[in-house]
Amino acid sequence: MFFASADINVTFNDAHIRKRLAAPRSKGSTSSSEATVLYLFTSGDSISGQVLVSATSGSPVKYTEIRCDLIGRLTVEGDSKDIVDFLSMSKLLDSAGTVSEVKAFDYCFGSVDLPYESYSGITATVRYFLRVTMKRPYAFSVVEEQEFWVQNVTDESEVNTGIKMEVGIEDCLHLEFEYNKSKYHLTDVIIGKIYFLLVKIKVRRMELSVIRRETTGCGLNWYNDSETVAKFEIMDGPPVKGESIPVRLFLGALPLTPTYLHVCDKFSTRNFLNLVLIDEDDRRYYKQQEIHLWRRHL
Amino acid sequence: SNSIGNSEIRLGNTMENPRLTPEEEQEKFSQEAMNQVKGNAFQMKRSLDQNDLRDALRFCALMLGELRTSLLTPRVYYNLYLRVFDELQVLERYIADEVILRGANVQEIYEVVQYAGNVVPRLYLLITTGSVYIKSKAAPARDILKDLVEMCKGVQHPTRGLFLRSYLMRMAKDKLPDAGNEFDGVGGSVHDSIDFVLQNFTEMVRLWIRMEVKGNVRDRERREKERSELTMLIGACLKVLSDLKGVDRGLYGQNVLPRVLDIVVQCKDLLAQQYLMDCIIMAFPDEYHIATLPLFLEACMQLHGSANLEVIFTRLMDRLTNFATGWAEAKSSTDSSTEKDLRGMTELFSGYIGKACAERPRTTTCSMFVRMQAALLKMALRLHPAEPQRSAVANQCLSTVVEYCSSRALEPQALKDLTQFVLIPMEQYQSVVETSQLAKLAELLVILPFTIRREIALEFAQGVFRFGHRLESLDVVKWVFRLLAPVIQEEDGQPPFEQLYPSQAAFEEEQFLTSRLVHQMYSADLDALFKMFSFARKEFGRGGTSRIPHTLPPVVMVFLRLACQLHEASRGTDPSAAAPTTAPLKALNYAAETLQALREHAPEAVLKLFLQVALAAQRCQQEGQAYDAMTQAMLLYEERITDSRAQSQVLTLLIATTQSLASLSEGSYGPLCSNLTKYASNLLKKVEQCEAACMCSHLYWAEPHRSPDEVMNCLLSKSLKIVDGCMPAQHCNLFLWILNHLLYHFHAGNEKVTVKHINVLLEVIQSNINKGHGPDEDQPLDSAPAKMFFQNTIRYIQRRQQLQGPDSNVAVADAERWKGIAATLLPT
Repeated sequence: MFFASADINVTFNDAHIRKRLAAPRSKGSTSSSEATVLYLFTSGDSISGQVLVSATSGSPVKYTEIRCDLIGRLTVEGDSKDIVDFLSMSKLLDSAGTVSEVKAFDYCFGSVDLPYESYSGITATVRYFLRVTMKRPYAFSVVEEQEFWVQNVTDESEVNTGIKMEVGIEDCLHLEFEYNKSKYHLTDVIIGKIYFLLVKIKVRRMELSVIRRETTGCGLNWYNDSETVAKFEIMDGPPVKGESIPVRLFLGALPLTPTYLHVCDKFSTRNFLNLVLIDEDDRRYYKQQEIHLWRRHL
Repeated sequence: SNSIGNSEIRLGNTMENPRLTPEEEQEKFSQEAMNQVKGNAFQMKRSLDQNDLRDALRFCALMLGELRTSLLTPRVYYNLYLRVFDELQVLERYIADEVILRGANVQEIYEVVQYAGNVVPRLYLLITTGSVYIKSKAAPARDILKDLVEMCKGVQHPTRGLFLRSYLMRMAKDKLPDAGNEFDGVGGSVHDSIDFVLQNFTEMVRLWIRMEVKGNVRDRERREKERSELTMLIGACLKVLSDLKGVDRGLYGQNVLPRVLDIVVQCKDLLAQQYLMDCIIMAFPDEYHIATLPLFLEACMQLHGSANLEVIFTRLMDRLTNFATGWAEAKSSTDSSTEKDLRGMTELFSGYIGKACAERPRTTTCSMFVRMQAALLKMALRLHPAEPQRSAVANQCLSTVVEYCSSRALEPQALKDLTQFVLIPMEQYQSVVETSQLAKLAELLVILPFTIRREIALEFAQGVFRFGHRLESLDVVKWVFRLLAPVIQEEDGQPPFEQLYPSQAAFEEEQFLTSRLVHQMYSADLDALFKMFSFARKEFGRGGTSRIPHTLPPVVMVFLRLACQLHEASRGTDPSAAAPTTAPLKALNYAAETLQALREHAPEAVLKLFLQVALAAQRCQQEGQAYDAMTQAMLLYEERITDSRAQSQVLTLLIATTQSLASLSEGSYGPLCSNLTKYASNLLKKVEQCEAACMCSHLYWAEPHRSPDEVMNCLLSKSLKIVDGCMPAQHCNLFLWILNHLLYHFHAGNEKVTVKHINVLLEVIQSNINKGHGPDEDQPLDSAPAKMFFQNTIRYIQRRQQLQGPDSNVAVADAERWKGIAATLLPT
């Protein structure tokens, strides 16, 4: 009797039509290295389905309460772990009862506002999950979590000017770079050009990389963590003055995340285009320029 | 992830094997790269077999990653490129099949290939896919081409960039919108194609020039070499333009050429400019060049200040000259504008050559100027093959050179070029005579130094024989001799003999060559011919003592020939022909006088020539001359022939000649004969005396001075007497000798020669031979030759004895006479 236990299985009602995706795992994640395939939801979706409780050993299991919670949790790993549940909704599925074989309970969270996207960054993580808790008398509760993934589409910003900037080192290297926009959706193409005004160093190659920078903390205590998401060589060999190098970068090919600002006032994720010139002696000259990334489609 | 791989460049460790030579090192790197290419290409093809394009693209990108190397020299890189090129064609065919047969979305593939992380592989893939994109006509060819040529800017490394753009050119050349082809219209027009090619061309030129600029001075030579190896990649662009049907002569002149020239002029690189101008000349048809000549030449003036315009000009002129020749031969063309342009070509070039010299005095050397003029002259002569324009253009060209060169110091190369230049008219005319009509040629020769003039003179002399033509007037002869002066005559200040001629033989050969010229002189008018010969005699006569022994004898011979011709003519076999006014005697006298001049220098030759004079004089019925000539010859014999061997040889000639002169009167003939018999008896050796005496016998048998007694006197009294004084060992031979002369006279019918004489002699000889040796035991006689001689003689006699013509009484009678001789062969 003491060992009598139960399995809880959570299903979604629209599982057969709902999109699934392989959730990216953050580098620090200790969970299984294989990407988990998760159902995808977006803000405003109704999250409904069934909770199946089955007695594992065949003998009936008593419970005092079965509850289903919908939780949006932000975790920031730092010196100390900081956990914020920015979303927490609860539904009582059943009060005391017994499961002798299998028992199904319907649950439904109608039109839930899912404010942030699921995210698995370097130190910050945003997760959404359903948690079913079966409380039992004189025994540990049986808990099952079902994670799902959230992506939110953003409207296109009305203001989207190009980026144009002249940079350089005096009497050594002057260049002007130009990107057609400052805000790109995730499958956009960056079109641009690098125009060399002055070249006195022996440039060997030039590349464009996308850098994701996570800022955590608040007030005076904030930390930056950067990660190069992708590198893209755009020039091979030494240019001369007056040369104009085209840039065409298909973002769709890269594992990018949109820009997130002030998520729960705990972290921000920004994206930068980093233009890097590497000279004959492997010295690197670079200029970072923030680009705003947004999601147009799910 | 969608990315196609971000391969790193493999760096070869050069320190690993410090003993490798650069070649071995290249071989090693090349081998490594080639292996990588092979491996990845294999994987790519396997993926294609499994219809996995993504994987195939990934392997292809890895393969293309090998082209990112900086370790290979252009030549080795080229081999790698060729291999990769072949593999890329496999991919291209696959994508084309996917798109065109199975309806895959080409635009999508065009995007996917751009995910490749490295720029070099990405662009090769882009071009490969772009090629299919154009073929599929899913987008206008023009737009895709524009995109490709723009994107290629991502490769700024000279070698890699050049090869990439060369790949672009090669993949695009059959997909350019062109008049009437499948891409014309929606896909663009020929103008778009021109824009595309020229943009690529400009970029290639810029990359190529950059090879020169970077790097240090130390290995400049190596870089120059590497650079020149890549020139063909650039020239191919122009060839593509030239292959466009839509680029007709009009469009070429208005659009293409001005832009190409602008690119060339703007690139400001000396080597590139020279090469590219050459490329233009080679790439486009000659008709186009002719139509746009002013434009092209004007652009040449704007090239780098040190540009060698001579090379460009001569190359173009040579090409157009060949074209003009072919064009003139075909003559089927009714293209009047080409005709007009062709006519104007000479003046145009002439003007620009002048301009080049005026504007670039420092870089245009004398030699360059001369070479340009040489090409111009060749062209002018080809364009105007007919007189009088031919002479006019040639003279003009010559006078330009005269004017230019007379005020300048001529460097050795310029002199060499001038030599070639001067010979052009002769080569073009295929005639020395016609060349002589060029008044300006002489003016040019005047300003040239002796050695050059001499070289030219020899070429002309050889030319006369090579073209095998005759010098038919005194003017031509005069002109030729003026030209040949440096060979024929000494000149003040000429270099010493040793410097001019490597050996005496070389000198003699040269003199021989020039002296032969008199044989090329010809005229139906013998008076004129006489004048020509006299002129030659006079000119050769000035040659000095070293030359005249070689040059004058041929003159003597032609005078003698002329004398005979004059004689023939004066006898008037053809009454209608005007008799020449020159007497044969005059020609003979000239010959004799000439010989007098030579007398001291070559006595034996002169002696022989006197004999010729005598013979010729006899033919001309000039007895006095003949006698004089013989006298002169004998005088020379007495005075100058001292060697005994030579004496006997010359004497033979004298006797033979005199015998031929039997038509002389007794008063002349008699003394000659008695002189000769005297010489014969004065010979040093008995044997020679004996032989000479025998020969003299014939002098007295010549009609009309026939004297059988004298003959017998010579043969029996003199000869036999001499034999007595000889050594016994020689007897046998001498007897045989005398016997043969006796037999001759016996046969000729000399009644004084009897069978008895012959039989006695035969007996003596036989006994001599039978003895086997002379009486002197110490000197055994080698009797074999004597025996043979004897046997042959006997056989001759026997043949005479048997000679019996059935219907010839004379022969029968003769045979009867011979039968008296007791001729028996020796037992063998």
